[in-house]
Amino acid sequence: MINPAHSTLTKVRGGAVRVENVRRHYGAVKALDGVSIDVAPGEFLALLGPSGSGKTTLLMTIAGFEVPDSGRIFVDDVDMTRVTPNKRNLGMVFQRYALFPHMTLRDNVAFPLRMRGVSQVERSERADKVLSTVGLGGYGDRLPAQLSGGQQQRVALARAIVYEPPVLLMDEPLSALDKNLRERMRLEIKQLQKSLGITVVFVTHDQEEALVMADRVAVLDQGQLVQEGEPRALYEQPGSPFVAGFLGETNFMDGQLVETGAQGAAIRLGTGAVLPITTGVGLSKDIRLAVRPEYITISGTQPKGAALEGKLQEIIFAGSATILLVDSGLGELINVRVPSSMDFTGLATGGKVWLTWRPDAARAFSA
Amino acid sequence: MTPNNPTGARQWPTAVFAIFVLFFLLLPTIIVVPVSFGSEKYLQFPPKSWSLTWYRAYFADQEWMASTLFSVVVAVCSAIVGILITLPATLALARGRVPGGGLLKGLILAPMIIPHIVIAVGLYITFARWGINGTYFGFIAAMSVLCVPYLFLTLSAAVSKLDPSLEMAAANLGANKFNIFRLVTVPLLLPAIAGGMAFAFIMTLDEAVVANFLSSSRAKPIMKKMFEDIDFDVSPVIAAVSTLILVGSLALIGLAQLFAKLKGGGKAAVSDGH
Amino acid sequence: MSGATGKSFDLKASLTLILPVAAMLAIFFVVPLSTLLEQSLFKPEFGLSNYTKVLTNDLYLTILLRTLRLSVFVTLLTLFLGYPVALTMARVSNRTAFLMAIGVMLPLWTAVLVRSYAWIVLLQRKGLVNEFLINTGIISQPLRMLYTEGAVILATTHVLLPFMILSIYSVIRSIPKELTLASANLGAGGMDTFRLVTLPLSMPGVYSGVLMVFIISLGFYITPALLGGPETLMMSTLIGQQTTETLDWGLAGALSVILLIITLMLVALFGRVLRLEAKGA
Repeated sequence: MINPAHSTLTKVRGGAVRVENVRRHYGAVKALDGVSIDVAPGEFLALLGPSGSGKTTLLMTIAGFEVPDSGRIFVDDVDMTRVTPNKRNLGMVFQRYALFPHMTLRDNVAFPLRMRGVSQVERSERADKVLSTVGLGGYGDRLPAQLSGGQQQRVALARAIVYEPPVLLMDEPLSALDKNLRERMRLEIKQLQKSLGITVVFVTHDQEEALVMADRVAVLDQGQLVQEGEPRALYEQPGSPFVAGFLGETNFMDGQLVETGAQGAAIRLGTGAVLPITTGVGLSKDIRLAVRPEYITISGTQPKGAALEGKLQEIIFAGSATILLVDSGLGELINVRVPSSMDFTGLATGGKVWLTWRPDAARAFSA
Repeated sequence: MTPNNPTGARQWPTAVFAIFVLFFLLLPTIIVVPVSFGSEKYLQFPPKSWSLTWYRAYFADQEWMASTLFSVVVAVCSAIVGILITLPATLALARGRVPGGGLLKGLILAPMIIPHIVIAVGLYITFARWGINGTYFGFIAAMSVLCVPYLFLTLSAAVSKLDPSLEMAAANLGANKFNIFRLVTVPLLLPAIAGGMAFAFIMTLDEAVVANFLSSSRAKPIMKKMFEDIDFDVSPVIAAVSTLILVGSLALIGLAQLFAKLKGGGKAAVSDGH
Repeated sequence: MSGATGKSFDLKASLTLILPVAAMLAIFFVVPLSTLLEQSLFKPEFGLSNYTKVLTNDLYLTILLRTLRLSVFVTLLTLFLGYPVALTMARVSNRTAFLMAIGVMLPLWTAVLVRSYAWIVLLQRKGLVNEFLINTGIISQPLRMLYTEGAVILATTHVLLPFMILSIYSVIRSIPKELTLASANLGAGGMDTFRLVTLPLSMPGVYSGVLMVFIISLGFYITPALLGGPETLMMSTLIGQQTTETLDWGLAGALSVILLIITLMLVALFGRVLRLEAKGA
């Protein structure tokens, strides 16, 4: 596996990346619609979004394979916007690795050094050392076709860092791997990045991946930067229903804003139930409440105070967590997530249940 | 009843008929081989006795040797010229911005569609005006053009199978356009290039229609000499030459296939574990 | 997607890359063809006299009709002989099919001239066919088979048969096996399954094969030239004759242009069929 301790690469001062108001339209399609973002040296930024959100286009623009219609790209304050890709000196790991099938692993990894005029002897040496770092020492003479997907991914990584670029761009590099391997690689890549100090821009559609790996997450949708911040902040304070729905699971409930005077505000749901929310400031009359399944408390007995009543439809065992689906007459079933170790007495399918949550665990948006 | 024959219906009549047809197909194709080993002056099957007389006659004959040399040189040069002009165009049409690209593609494929007799006659008249009938130059130019469509189809198929991310990766790693072409594109296209050139060589060697019209007494490809000799005297030398061409073509194709298999390192690993 | 590779060629580079092939095609392909057109319109004097000659003169019309007639025969024969082969290839095991495919393609790798020459070997007075017929007592005197229409049809059929077989086979092969299984499961016997399932689904291959063979046999030169006689003159051999023997380049040009137009119309039809085939796939 990847062992940063074996790395012979010097700790690089990671480069800073600045994306300034980049626009890229394909006819009527707005692939990138005025996106601006800064990446600090040594930072791990995840570009997260559904397909078509523009995240890959943005990465390709930074790499130089797309030229924006307007806007600029800076790496360490150098304007890279019109620089050809082969002169940008950025590391890149492609989605399907793009290892040269007709070259040995060593030649693959040594390729960028060859392009930079490094002597045959030296580049073979350096290539072998980096291959050891990613746990493939001694594999130098093999061909890519002889490796498994996970191994190929590590070679792609080795090739991207052997020339010590200031920034590493990664285009959904883990999407072709199976679940266990993916989770393992996430941590290893993260560790490698930390030990090298390299800046990483990482494209993914998997929100769990983004949350686990990134120092900061930028959420894109339809060519626009919707929200960016630290994973936890994004998760707990999503700025829009889209982000709330995209990151993790969310229950959405529609209702009307009700002022309750000094105690704050509440939402009146379609069924008539009234539940408190943190604040009504800045909200329209029609609001949408977002509550995550793991923040809902479920009980078979009616609690004091405001609660949402419903009928327990189904209990689904999902390993360490159990999911309970509740019908509260709001249209869609409410998703409640509890640890499987919980005491389930009093909860049976078909029975009446009451749902509560801390007001600050829910977010209200103008509908 | 089998998956291929779920109704258990009688399929053998069709199969027997098919075997006869295959026999019909193959008999004339391979009959030249045993005939070429005959010892008599006329075509004889089966040969009364086996000998290499006619092969010796072929190699001893000045005219046959001259024709062979001419044909081989023209075939090799046409294959080379064909690749040199078609490969760049294939890449440009696949990756670049070519105004009227569809029109150009049509033009490239046209020699394959238009009857060779028409092309041959047109070339004859044109070359007569320019005075290049019966020259190496004329032949190579004409044959190269005839090979273009086949080379284009073979190369296009291979180019479309090229993973574009490989060339992107090379660029990202610092390679300029020339290095990308030299170190990534061409090596990956090598099987298609080799196969295409082998095909072009064989095609040029076998092309009889154009050969028939562009020849002169000094410049006579094998096919033209064969055509003339068949008319004059159906000697078994022709069978010997035919056999040699057949065996040579098959060997060349076999080599190209072998080469393609050896260099076919384009597939990613299937298993996934470590 | 051209922007994405960063490797795509800009206009100037693209034009430079296509220049060699475009130039070669222009000089050694377009010019010869336009020369034919020019000759047809200007020799012996400017006008359509060559065309009227071809389309009204009995001699030339006979030749044109003969060409069409022989091509139709060849097409039908290749269809009749080739379909069962394609069907059998689709039914047998993969390994056998592979061997059969090699048998079908081997003739393709042999020069047309060589294959036509082989037919001379077979059909001549002392050839294999006559020997066989005499030895088995079917006839007592050797038949004159060479230089007849029959010889031309036979040899051309032989040369073009692989095209028909491969065309039909590639389509039958792509019919999902489950369809014949379903048909049997629903009660259809062998003949019915073939008639109602396999045959209709194989038609695209039949259309392609028919058009391909017909188009090629219209302009086919070597086999008719070698195996045909004066009574079997076809458009292609006539063109050749007018060019090198009679030196009537105006007439040769007109004949070529007519042949070309017919061919291109059929190719356009072929293209249509392919597109319809692709849509239905």
